[in-house]
Amino acid sequence: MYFTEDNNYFEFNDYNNEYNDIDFKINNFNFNRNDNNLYKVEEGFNRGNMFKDTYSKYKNHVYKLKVNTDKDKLLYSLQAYTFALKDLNLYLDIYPNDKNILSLYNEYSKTLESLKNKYIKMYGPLCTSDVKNLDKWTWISNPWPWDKGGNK
Amino acid sequence: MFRYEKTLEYPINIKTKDLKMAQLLVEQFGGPSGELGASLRYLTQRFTMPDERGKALLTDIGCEELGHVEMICTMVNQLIKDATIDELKKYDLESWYTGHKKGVYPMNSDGVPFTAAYIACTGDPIVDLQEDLAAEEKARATYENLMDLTNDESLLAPLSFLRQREVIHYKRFEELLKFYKEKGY
Repeated sequence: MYFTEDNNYFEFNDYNNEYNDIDFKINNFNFNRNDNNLYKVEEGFNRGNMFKDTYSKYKNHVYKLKVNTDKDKLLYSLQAYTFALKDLNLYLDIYPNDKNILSLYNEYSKTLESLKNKYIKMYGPLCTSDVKNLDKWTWISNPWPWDKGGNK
Repeated sequence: MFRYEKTLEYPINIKTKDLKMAQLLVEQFGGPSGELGASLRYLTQRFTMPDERGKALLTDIGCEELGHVEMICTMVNQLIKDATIDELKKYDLESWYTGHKKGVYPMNSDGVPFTAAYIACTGDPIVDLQEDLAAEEKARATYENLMDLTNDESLLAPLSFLRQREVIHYKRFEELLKFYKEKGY
């Protein structure tokens, strides 16, 4: 073993010296954004944006995904939560100390985890490491994401 | 490291084949304001970002853009895959077919191959971020032009989604640039 937690070559504190968050005082920056500035997960996903104050539509183009099958319903939720986490992720890259968004990120990632487990069990792996089947390498199974009607 | 996840960022199920839109949409794969250039731009520029915010943001947006490359290619593939030779001829896609059959090659809508000359990597974070802001705006405008050219909702929904991503990426790059200027980088 090259390093253990006790003997970690990269000390966490070293990183803090790179810059100090106390310096980060810019008037227009809102560190603790309230959750009511955010869309609910599915609405944000439909819009392609979780943040109400940055959403800007083109002409009258607004779309809402329709789902018919159980598989699509589960996939839709999975994609919606993956998307919400992605959008919060980009926000947190700039505002890493926003406690409200951090706790929301935590909440959504737990939901995504359980959606993923359910999906993998019913419809197959999302990543190669999800393959648990001992009879067949199910990673290769159709549909692939670009297959028409596959959606996944 | 990169790991593949077997799902699109946003679902795509194109209802009807449309060779004209396939030819136009390929612009956002291999054109100057396309997603391939976007992903390469950020994933290249990130090595000279001066702090952890920049390293993270360019990595994360760069990865998302790779997902957008996949979405655009999926749309093009679904629009063209069932075309007959006669249909390809009718829409002047003989040169596409000659070089690529129905393959999705990184080129613009005129068939000009992708080039790394579409992106900049100056090593200067302020200059690179200014380029990134312009790139997001150019991509947004291109999506709007494409949306003007179709009535197919199964195309419009993902295009609208992708356009909105340009809006949010612009916003984040703008915040990072503002922060870097304050910090004096």
